Amino acid sequence: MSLIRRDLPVWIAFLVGVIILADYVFTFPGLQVASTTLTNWAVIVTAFSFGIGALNIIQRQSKIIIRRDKYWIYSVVLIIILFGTLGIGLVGSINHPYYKILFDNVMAPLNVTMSSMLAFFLASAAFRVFRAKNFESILLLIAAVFVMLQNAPIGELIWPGLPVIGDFFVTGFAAGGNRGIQIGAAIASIGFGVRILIGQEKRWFGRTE
Amino acid sequence: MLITILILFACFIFFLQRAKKSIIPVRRLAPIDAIEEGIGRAVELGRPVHWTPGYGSAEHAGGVGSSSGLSLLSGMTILAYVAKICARRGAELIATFANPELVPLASELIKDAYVSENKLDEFKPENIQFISSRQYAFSTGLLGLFQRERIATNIMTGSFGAEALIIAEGAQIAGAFQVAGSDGTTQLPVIFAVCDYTLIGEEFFAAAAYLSDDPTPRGALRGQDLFKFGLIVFTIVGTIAMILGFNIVNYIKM
Repeated sequence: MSLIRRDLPVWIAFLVGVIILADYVFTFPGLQVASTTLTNWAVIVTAFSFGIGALNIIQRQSKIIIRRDKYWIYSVVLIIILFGTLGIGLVGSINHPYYKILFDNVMAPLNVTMSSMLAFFLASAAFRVFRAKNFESILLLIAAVFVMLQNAPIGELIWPGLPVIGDFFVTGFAAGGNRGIQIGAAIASIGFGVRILIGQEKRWFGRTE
Repeated sequence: MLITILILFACFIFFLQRAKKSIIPVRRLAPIDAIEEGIGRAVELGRPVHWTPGYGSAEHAGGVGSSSGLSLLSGMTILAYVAKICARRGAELIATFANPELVPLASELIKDAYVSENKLDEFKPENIQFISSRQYAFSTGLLGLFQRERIATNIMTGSFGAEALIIAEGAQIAGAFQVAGSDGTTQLPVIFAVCDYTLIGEEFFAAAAYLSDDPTPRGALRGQDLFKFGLIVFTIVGTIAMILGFNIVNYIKM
């Protein structure tokens, strides 16, 4: 039990990690083949996992329908659309006219709708954040005003210096802070990777004791 | 590149070994402490806790096999902690995913947390939910879930794209207490603005070592701090050398 649950995942992670990492540094032909094969396996495993995802949805929604939970009718709609789209895709292909109708007239407009909703969410978040509650929020508000006036054409009309100050906030403070966070996160991610490779980090696959 | 990797590895291994002999102190991470506070709030209100690792950043979407894999796995270590506290305190946990390959992993992880707290009967497999592998379908699904379940606490630790704002604002509208963490800088301003507590950049990866019962992984934090210090010194020296007309870049390029 201990071998399968605790040691085997660590050894698999170690071997795969070392092969992929070594392929970045060395140019042995065998290593490249092994690395490409493992990367292809990852793609295949990911593709198969969509089956698990579909099963998860069917199981959950079926339970809701059987128990007649609140909003159970939405689960019926979901199951019908899931199997309908799957059926059309399997019988015809993804180029089947009905499949294209579903994608172009249902999926694409819904996607664009949610994407455009971002603007409203952004506005409501900005309204809440840009309230001068304490010193930090006052700083944030000042920076935001300058950056907004840098991007809005009216900023330059009010005073030509406003876009210059806004640009200083973006290319100076924001870019500097951003790079600091990126470098720190990159080193920390390597550290986390090393901990996984040498088996010091096991919490991500569950109970280890 | 090889030399850099070897130096980094050496730093990590040295401090990991040292951590076995003496305890390395780590500063408290307020967002991690806030997770327990958020779960306590959920218990008091009798409403569920929601956790998600996100869809993945736009350029790295593709799950564990992609370059956002480490962020997702680091997020899973925080899920292990969240599940354990939820099991201990009796809070209902809902975990949602855009990457289906994480569903079996999370299922095992959450089940193990309930087993370790002797509360397997309270484990609900139907609360581990794959929503959709499409970004906006995923975020729309979560908006509906937040309103139906009236979640009390929303915890987002993983890799996020444009859906971060939709999820965080949706949870805010539902009146949830929020803790988020990510290594991607594109969505950090958004989650920093909307959420109550945020794990920024390296803190997000440090959280895994911080939460570990074993003090050894904390050695890696000391190792990466040493490497970072070296990098800062190298940057200052390089800048001065370039100002003085000594083109150090030609010597580094290989």
